[in-house]
Amino acid sequence: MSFALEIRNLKKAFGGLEVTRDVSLTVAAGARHALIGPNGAGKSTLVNLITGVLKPSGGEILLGGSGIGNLSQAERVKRGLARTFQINSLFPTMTVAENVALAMVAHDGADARVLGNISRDPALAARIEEHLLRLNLSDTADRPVSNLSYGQQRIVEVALALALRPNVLLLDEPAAGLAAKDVEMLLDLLKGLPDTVSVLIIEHDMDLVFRFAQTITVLVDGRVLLTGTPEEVRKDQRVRDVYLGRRHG
Amino acid sequence: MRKPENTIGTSFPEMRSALRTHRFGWFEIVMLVVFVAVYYLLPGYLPLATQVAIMIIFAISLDLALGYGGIETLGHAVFYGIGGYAAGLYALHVWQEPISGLLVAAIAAGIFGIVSGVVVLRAKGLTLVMLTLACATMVHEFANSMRAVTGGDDGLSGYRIDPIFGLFRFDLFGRTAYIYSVCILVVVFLIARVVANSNFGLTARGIRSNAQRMQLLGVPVLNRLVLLYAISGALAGIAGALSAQVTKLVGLNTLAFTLSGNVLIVLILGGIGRLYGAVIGSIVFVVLSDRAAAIDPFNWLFILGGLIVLTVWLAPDGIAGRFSALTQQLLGRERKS
Repeated sequence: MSFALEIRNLKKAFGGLEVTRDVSLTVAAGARHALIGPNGAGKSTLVNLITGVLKPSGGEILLGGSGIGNLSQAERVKRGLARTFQINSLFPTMTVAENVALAMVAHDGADARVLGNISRDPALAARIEEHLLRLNLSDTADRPVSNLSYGQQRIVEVALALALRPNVLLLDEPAAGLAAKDVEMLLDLLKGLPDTVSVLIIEHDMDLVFRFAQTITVLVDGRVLLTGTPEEVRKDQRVRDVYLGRRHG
Repeated sequence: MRKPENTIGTSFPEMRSALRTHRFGWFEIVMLVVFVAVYYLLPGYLPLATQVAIMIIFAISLDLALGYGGIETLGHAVFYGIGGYAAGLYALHVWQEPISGLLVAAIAAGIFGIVSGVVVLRAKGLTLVMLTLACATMVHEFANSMRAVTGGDDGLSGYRIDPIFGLFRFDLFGRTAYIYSVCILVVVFLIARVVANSNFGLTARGIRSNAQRMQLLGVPVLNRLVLLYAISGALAGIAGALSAQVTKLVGLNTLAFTLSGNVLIVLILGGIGRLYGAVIGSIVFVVLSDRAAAIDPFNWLFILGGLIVLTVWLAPDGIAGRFSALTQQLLGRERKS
């Protein structure tokens, strides 16, 4: 079978510095896959390679079985790869409903339609409402994003990515900077995502990772150290040494 | 309209306010009443009122580009001038019918918007400002040197315009010109409103808010900006053409930097990104310039300058912005009490 996302022998070097060394990774359809690793392990580089910010020095990236290594960021989005950003990159002057509408209209390929009033389009209104309701954002629909709390903005970030109806959703440190109760809110939301979306999450919050992911890949020094279930990763001595070791002394 | 069955949570009318599209309200009614009242009550001021209407059209066109798409331009007069010269030359050499003259002007200015936009709109911020300025200056110089075609310094004149629909002759008092301009203004306002409320209008606002993220949503940002620039340019061309048809003269000043600056001031006075701002700003700007110049022909720019300082200080979102903030406050208070 083909995987939702497959990475084969991916390499990236900046000059002599190898940041990604022969990384292979598969994300099955509907998987909840986490990528963890200490600072400098090459997680962000890997995200940038997958989404097309960086060009790999070697290896392949396949989305739903077809290679996307040579596509631009926008083309990868069109193929069904959506991502969230570590630093919020929303449309701050626009309302939550408008933010979501922008993504939906863009996904429909209808963003250049000059005729037709968006606020008189009941199908679009219904889709936005349903989307916001699912993500618990209904109350904020008419508020500009810049007026929301940081935690809510993170949720809108996820809402925007999901509005693109992705096959694969890449979450780049979604819990960064969140208060504990907001992390719970985020976790509830992530657990409620439909099975049609495969999720690859990069996260520092170990509690969130172990409660959410079914599969965890540990990245150390640009290499895959281990891929396994949360239980296997928790028990692995090497992981304890290089990563969790600091805490367990 | 019937609600679809799967609608849950907030209701459809609330979604309308969440998407913040332009809605007809008392403002349009008041403006129509004012325009009709001017015709009957101030017949001596019809030429000035015609200037106001043309300035509104021009400012609306700029509002689409700047207020919706965030295209910072200091050369918008280039479209006004091209529209004016296109309409003048069309009347001089081809046909004196006015409506087709407007269309020719809109197409000419729109095409120039596409051609110049593809080059200019790759830049952002100060670079974009300078490029639009340079673009307008080049066309200005071109028109100046093509004396045989444009009349150079002397301007383009000596053409006549046929009666509208073959029925309404342009009279000496400017009555026909006024009604004609106001009718075209209404049409342009409606066109701008359709564009602003469409998917494309939303896209434009998204580009203004965060162009990079729009790109990552899969939207070809440059293409969209060029389209917006062309629509905006075409509407500005209509304003220039109206001026050419009504005054029977197209001068180099229609391409000049001063006009680009004035229309920007109009929009800052009125408020950007809300269509209303163009209307209010134009009225304040043209009427005040006229009155101030009548009172003190030497120092009248002081008054205008003072007004701009006051506006930026007291109402940074423009007069229309200040006003809608006030009404929202009042409405909010009513809801609470």
